[in-house]
Amino acid sequence: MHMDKCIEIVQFADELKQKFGEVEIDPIKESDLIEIDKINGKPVYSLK
Amino acid sequence: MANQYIPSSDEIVNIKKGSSPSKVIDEGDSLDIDTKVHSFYWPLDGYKKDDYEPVGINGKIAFTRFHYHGLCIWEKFSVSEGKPIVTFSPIVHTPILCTQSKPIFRYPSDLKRRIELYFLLGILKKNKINSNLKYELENYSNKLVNEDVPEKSLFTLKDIKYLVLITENKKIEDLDINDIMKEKLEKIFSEQ
Repeated sequence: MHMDKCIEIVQFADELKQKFGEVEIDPIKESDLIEIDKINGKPVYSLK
Repeated sequence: MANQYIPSSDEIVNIKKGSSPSKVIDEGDSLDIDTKVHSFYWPLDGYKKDDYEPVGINGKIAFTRFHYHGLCIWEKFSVSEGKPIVTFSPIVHTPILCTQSKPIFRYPSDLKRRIELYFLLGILKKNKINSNLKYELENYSNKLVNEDVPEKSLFTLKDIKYLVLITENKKIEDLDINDIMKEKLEKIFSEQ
C-alpha cells in the first residue's frame, strides 16, 4: 500500500475515533464473532 | 400532569424518551424500495454540524444508515402500538431498534468501510441489542417539519457500500421484501 494511502487510512480511523470515542464503544474481539456462512468464498459472520 | 405518550399516525417509529431529535423530516421513499423514511435531525453529531439519521420502514423490515455507507436491515424487532421502538445512541445518534436478533455481516473489501463497520459493531455490542418494551416512549409528531433533507444526507442506496443484517433470517432472499428490493440488496451484499 502506498504511503499516501496509509496516511489517508490512519487519518480516517482517527476521525472516526474522535467521533465515536466519546460514546465508549465496546471493542470487538475475534471471540465475539462466529462464522455462519460463506458467499463467493468470503465468510459471513454473526455477533454472538 | 406528566406528558402522556399518545402514538401519532404521522409517526413511523416509537422513540425512547430522552433520545429525541431536534426535528424530523419526512423523506418519502428516498430509498426507492417502497419504504417510508423519516430523517431525524440534530444540529451536532459530536463534532460535526447537521446530523441526519434516517429510519425507513417497509412492513416488517426497517432500514437505518451508519456513517453514510452502511445499511442496517432490521427484522423481528419489538413493536409498541404497531411501530418499532428506536433509541438513538448518545452523542452520535446512531439509530438502534429494540430486537433480540444479532448482527450478520461480511467484511467490506474497502479498508475504510471495514473500519466503519468495527465502530458500528462496537455500538451494537455496547447497546446489547434487546427487546426492551419497558422503555418510556415519547412523541415526535410535533417535531415533523416540512423541509427537504440536503442532497448529501438523503437516505438512498447510491452511497451504500456494505450491509449489516440484524435479522433472524440469515439471507436476504429470505427477508419479507419484494424481489426488486432483494435484487438491489443482494448486489450490495455480494460485492462488499
